[in-house]
Amino acid sequence: MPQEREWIKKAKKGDVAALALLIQKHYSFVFKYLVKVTMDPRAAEDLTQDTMLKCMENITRYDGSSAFSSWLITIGTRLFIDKKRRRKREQQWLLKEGNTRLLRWQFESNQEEWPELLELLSKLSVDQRIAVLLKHYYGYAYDEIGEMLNIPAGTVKSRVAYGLRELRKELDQHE
Amino acid sequence: MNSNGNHDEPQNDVIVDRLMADLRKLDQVVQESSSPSVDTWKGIVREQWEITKRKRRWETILFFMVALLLISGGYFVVFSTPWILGAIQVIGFALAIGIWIFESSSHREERL
Repeated sequence: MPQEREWIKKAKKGDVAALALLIQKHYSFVFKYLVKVTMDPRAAEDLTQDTMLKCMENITRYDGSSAFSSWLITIGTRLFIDKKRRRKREQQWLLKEGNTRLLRWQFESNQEEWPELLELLSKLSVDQRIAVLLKHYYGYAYDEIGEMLNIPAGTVKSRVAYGLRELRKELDQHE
Repeated sequence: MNSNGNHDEPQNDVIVDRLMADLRKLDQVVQESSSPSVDTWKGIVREQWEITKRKRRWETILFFMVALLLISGGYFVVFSTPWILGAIQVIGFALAIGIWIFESSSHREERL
């Protein structure tokens, strides 16, 4: 971590190598997060690259108030939400067709069954899915998530609660 | 016990535990995206910073061009319509006299 702080300090001063090291270190983490958010590895790949480009443009704005990885996933999440708003029609088509087919194929090629809960997670609204992931998988507090998404902590809490309730309801119906 | 609080918690714990296990499996199964090497990232960072610097330079030039256009547009209107220029000079002169009178009367009060 002290090494990372050193890289961040140098990157903010314009050190190309330091920023390159930071980006390479966090690439996989951001990619895996965005796979869970988008439920589509191809979209996650594009978004991860866009996130890193945004990071390069705005590195001087990083103030250290949150972890660097948190800052990156905030950028990635906001990029995804912006893209989703702009491509509403395409998203509706993807939902109909099922954008989890790539993930399902990867599970099958690993001789693993595609978990039903992940299929249900993919059907949750993006807002609820992101809130559930950040709260329970990544362990962020409600107010931290609120800051990342620019919404009140109470809204985050509702999204998590409704998201889990929706998952439970769908799972009970299927079982 | 509220409707979406304590009553839901044990059931939520079960769902959350199952979901976390599935998400961990997802992390294992999803093929690691091949991140470019550090040297490639250095090239990308250099290029991106160059693009940003060029963009900001052009934004500044554009800003000054627009400002100059607005100012010269204003001057064109004022000089092509003499009565507007005359009116601005008269108003400016009147304001100057008014400020001078105000200032000198407030100085006189202070002396008294």
